[in-house]
Amino acid sequence: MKALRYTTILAGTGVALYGVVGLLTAPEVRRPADVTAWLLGGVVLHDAVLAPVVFALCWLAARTTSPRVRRALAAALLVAGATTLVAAPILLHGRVAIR
Amino acid sequence: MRKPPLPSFRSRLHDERTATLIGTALGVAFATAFLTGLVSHVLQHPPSWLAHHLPTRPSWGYRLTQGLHVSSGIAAIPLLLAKLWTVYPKLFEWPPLKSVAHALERLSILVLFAGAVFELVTGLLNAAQWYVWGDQFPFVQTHYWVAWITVGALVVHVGVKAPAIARGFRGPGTELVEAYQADVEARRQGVSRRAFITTTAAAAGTVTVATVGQSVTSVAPVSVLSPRDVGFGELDVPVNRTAVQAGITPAVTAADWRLEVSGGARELSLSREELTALPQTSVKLPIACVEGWSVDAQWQGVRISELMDMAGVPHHADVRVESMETYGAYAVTILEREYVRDPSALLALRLNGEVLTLDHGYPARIIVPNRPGVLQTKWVRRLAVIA
Repeated sequence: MKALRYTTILAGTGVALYGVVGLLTAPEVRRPADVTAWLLGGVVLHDAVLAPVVFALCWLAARTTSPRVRRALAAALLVAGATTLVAAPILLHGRVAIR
Repeated sequence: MRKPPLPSFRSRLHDERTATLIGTALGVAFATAFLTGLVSHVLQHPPSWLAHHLPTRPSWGYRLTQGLHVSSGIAAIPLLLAKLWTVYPKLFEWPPLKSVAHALERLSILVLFAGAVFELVTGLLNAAQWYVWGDQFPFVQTHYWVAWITVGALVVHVGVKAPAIARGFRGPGTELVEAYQADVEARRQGVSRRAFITTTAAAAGTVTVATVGQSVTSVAPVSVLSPRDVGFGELDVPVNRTAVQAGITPAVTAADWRLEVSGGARELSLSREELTALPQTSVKLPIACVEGWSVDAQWQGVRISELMDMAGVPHHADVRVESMETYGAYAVTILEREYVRDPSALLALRLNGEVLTLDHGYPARIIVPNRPGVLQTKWVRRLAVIA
């Protein structure tokens, strides 16, 4: 079991390194540093902006609402939030073929 | 080192079972997106050892795989957010690094997290053809290589977390008593695990149904958030790149346009009238774009294989398709012999019963089965045999 785990971890590392080498050597990708900035930008945007906002809302809801209201609120906000994120490009930029 | 004042999280939903269940759904979505992405990459940029093994059937194959690619990516957005919410408290675990192994594990999670967000954001923006990254990086190659990095980190993550995943999956037993108590506590707080997972599933379902209409045209009327509105377009077929965008002027498609077929035993030079006088074939084939949208259409024109026979081109020859377009990476494309000799591969002259419009590739365009839309070359000028 342990051997299988280590093999999996090793194989995954190999696949990831294949991707790193591919990215660094692809002639079309001229500035890998820009890609790294985008990669880390997403992490920062989630961990330092989106997540704190969501957890602040959770905290606020826990203090001000009853469990029943909280349940409905969580469901509504999760679905609406995900839908808004997915729709963000077309809300901000328009649907292709219409704009 | 003293522990600084870190946030604490009171919800009982930040546990192994919730992380395992949502993580599994997310893993399936990512595996689907990765495999269908590989299919798309190979069809678009076939490596030489695979170039002559690409299947031309089923004709709707690429429509299915690319529709799945974009849909699984979109469905992964709420799943990823729910997964990140579940494990967010781990960001503040103390001490931050316990050992070399722990540091490596956290590094692999950073890579997985960064790659996953990058792939979903760039994929979604690309489907909407909104290139906010400008010339910082090319979408196709970057999305492709970061996918390998992300999937590698995902495999590492599964290996590292295997014991936790096993515990998360185990049926109600003594190990789950704690998880069960956590759930009871979570229900008392308002949101049970079941409610959280059901809601996450509902969010994933909602965004899928709201966007999948661009590939499954029968649900297009309810898919009001699909990046592409497939209900628009000349002759009921959307246009990704217009003639203006491709630098096509009416002058190059005027009456003196001729299709050249070169490199065979006989050189051919055919006007549009001469092409329409040849035996016409009608086929129903989808046009399926890399951005995920696809529609079925009725195409009419001359079989490419018959043109090749007229020009005395041997059966084993590949063909270079040259377009009159002046901008774009796909002005010249390679049509492998498997496509050239497929009986439903056409040099199309008509679409859905009408003469091709300029935006659809007038005077003549390529349409072959099971191939990405960018390779269905429009405004064809020459078919050249590759020696």
